Amino acid sequence: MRRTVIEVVGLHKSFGPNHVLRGLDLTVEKGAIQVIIGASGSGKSVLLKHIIGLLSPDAGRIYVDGEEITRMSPREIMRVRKKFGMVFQTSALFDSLTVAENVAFPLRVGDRQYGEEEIRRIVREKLALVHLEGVEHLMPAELSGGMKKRVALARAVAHDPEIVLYDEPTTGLDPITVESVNDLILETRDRLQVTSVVISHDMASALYIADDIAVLKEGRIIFRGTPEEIQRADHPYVRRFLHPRAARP
Amino acid sequence: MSAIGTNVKVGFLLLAGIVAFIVIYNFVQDRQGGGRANEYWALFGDASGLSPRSDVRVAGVKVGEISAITLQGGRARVEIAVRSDVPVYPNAVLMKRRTSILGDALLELDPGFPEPRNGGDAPLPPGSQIRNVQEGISVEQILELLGDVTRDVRRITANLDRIIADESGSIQQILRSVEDLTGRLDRLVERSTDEIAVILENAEVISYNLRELTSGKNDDVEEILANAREITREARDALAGLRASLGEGEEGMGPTVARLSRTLEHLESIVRRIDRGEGALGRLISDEELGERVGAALEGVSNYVTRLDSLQTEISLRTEYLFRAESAKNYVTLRLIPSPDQFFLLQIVDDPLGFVRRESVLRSPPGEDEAAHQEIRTTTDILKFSVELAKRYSFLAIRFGLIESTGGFGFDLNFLDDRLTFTLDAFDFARPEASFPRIRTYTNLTVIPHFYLTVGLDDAFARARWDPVTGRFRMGRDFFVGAGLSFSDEDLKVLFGTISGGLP
Amino acid sequence: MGDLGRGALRLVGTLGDIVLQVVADLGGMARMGARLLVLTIRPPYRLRNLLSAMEAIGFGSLSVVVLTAFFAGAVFSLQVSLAFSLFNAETLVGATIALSMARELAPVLTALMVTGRAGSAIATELGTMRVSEQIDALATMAVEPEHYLLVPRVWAGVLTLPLLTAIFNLVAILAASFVAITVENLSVAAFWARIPSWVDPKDVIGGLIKSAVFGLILSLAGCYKGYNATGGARGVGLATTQAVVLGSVLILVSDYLLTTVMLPWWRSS
Repeated sequence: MRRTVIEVVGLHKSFGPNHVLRGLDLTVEKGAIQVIIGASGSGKSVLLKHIIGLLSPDAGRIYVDGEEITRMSPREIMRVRKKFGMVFQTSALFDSLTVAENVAFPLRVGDRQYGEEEIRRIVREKLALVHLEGVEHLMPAELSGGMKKRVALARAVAHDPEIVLYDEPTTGLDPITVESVNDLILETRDRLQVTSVVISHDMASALYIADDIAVLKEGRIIFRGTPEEIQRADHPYVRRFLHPRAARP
Repeated sequence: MSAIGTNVKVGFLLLAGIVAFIVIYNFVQDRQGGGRANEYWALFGDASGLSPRSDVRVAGVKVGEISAITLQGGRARVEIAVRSDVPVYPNAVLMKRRTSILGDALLELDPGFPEPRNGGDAPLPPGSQIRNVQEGISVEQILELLGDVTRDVRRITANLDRIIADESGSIQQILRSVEDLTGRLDRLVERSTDEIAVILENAEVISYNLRELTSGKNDDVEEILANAREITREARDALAGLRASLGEGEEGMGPTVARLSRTLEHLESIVRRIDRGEGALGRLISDEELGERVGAALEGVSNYVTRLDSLQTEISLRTEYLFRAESAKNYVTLRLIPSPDQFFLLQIVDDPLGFVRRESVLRSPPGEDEAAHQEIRTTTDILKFSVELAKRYSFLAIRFGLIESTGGFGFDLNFLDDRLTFTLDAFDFARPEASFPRIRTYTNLTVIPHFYLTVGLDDAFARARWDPVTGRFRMGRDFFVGAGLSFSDEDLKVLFGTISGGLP
Repeated sequence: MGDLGRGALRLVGTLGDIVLQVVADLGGMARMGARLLVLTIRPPYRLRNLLSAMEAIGFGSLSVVVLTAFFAGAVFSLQVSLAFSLFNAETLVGATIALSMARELAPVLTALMVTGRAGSAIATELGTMRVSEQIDALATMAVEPEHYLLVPRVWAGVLTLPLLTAIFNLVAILAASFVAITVENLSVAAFWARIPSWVDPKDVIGGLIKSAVFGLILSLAGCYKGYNATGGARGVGLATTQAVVLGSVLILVSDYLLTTVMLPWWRSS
């Protein structure tokens, strides 16, 4: 049995009258690629922001490496956050900085003091990991969407985190780029031995990369299983995700 | 990389802002120090137009300002601060004077004079009241007066108007009767010519009759004439007696009067000549140009005297150590300050780098036919001289002239009563070793009176060069620190005074 | 009647909303300001961020401030010379201009220009960072976004505005003297002579203190509106406009309050 890295117990969160998360439970195992799939507005992003401590829950507990982050002071949360790297849906590259400066950013703001030469080496190494070379001095505005996503991934793993969170990594990309991003997620896991949490509504990608898929609906996990189990499931909602009406013959 | 640009830009902003602030602050700051002023106060019935910081002037020269205006028993208590070197006596007078029709006013102070008789020979102690106050005529009062005057004028014109309107009938009547009268007279004269002729004829007849009458009475007339003759004789005798008694003493009245009249004649002629501008005195008096010239000459002499009186001299000795040249450089400076806004600077400099003279010669090198140009650079250890003329604007002084025996210019920024000075000199423009002049900049800080420290950078833009043969530092950027002593003629007077006083 | 009544009610309601919005903005800014003050003393101290914020706010506004100062001084000088020459009070022209520049015009005009230029830029930049998740990204990298982004910007506003105002003062008075002397034929002495006795260092310093407060207001308004922007590109545009309006209004209101507070000090000798 693998070790649990993230454990979410009975998570509730409301925004005004909007009860987004309604007693959500989830565990993520070390080294796994956990995909959380759900429709738009099902609370996927809210869940992710809770896991990294950007939002605090109305009720429920979240454990990261056995530590309960829902009871932590802001400063302790900061410490725990260093275990995470996050790839945003919009990449969220700092557009006033060059690609190299973006990737180097987590190193510069961290506790550890890196030398300039070391930073340059790590930046080169991480960019090579996402198959980008010679783009160090470009500004984010000069990159394509797929390239931005890769740089975002390079930035997310620059400080060697234990957990990488992906927020809709394939949304809004063409099928070719989706493929390469999926490959990158797998490759990153294999090379860096990180735990990955991917939230998505793209079932095809999920089936391709996931070790485990959790389906989120109305603030709860309604189904969990491996890609094979999902494909065999007869849950109507899950089946609609697997075979959208538009795709049916 | 870009951080350098950021630093430069922010640094530029900081410098520009701070310099702007210092310039404004220096300009706005009142020159006379706040601590050396005496406070007095006076009561005014009307302080309108006065405000704190309004000028207090003596003979038009600002000597202080109003520090506060408060109420005291229905009158305005005006407190003034007056420079302590202006003594104020008990008979001083404080006058309020308008400076514009807008109501802006200032105080004119007549500081008074010592009056030993009344026991008022000591100046007023600070904090006491100036009792003599003249408020002057305020705009309000002028306006009130003007109102009265216009009211009077209006009344007069109104009366006049009424008189003319009321009496116009009678005036016209008078005119009409005058016309009537003259017309009647005219007619009368015309009609009466014949009658006049008759009258004249009658008159002729009467005179004839009269003549007849007198010829008949000749004796009586002769008697009357005799009487008259006697009377005149008597009168002549009396007059002769009177004249004799007056002329009795010496030659009589005649010569005296003649002399007097001669004298008067002379005087008149002199005056006439003077008036015509003849003779030296005449020219002096009547020739305007000459008069003006004499006046100007006198003024010039007086100016010269005051200038001599105000000429200040400052001598300073300075030595500084140059780090690359590894030796000291010495200066003796004489500053002549005829007025606060200009000075002359004479300086003797002993520079370890020496004076470089360059000569271009044509010579034939041995064994060659062709003549060649060759430059000979001779470095001599002679003293260098600076002669500079400087003009000063507030805290900035601009100098130009001879700097270290070459042409140049420079400027000084003076702060903290000239205790902190930033200097920049540019000179030696024509040197062939570098395409830019020698720029020297340094800061002087007077730590205790007469003693200052200096730190600076010489030849800021030139690469340092050493003589390949001797290894001696030849030219280029060099840092230096040093110190100097500075004395004004006042100090020297005191110094010499004590020395000569101490001698037997 | 009914329509009119409803219209009036709606108007009152709208006005109430506006007032409530301004009060809410004020409260939000105050809370943010207090939080930033606490964050300021907490390490790490990011001098580079401060410098680049000073570059953006201060150096970037230098040209527009100098330009404004020149023309403000020139126009003011024309008008004042014209008016005062009617009363033979030409000697007061320089003093009047210098005093009103030092106390009021330089701080307020500088602050308004910088609000338009840099306050809006702050709101746009932060708003863009907010809607493109860059601020969240910062937070995930264990950096407090407020500490990293807002503290240096607000301090840059507080520190650079007095510098810009001092420059404004100098440029404006030089421009005013230039116009008065060349165009209005005032003598150099008439223009400058009365300034030292009418204007005190504390007038200048009071103006600079004001400008520091204005710097705080305009940068805080930009930060507050930009940092809390929502709703994509449109939201960013809205935040920018609101930041400029809020900043300008608060600068003018606070100028009145600050002048009220400072007048007794300025008047005292």
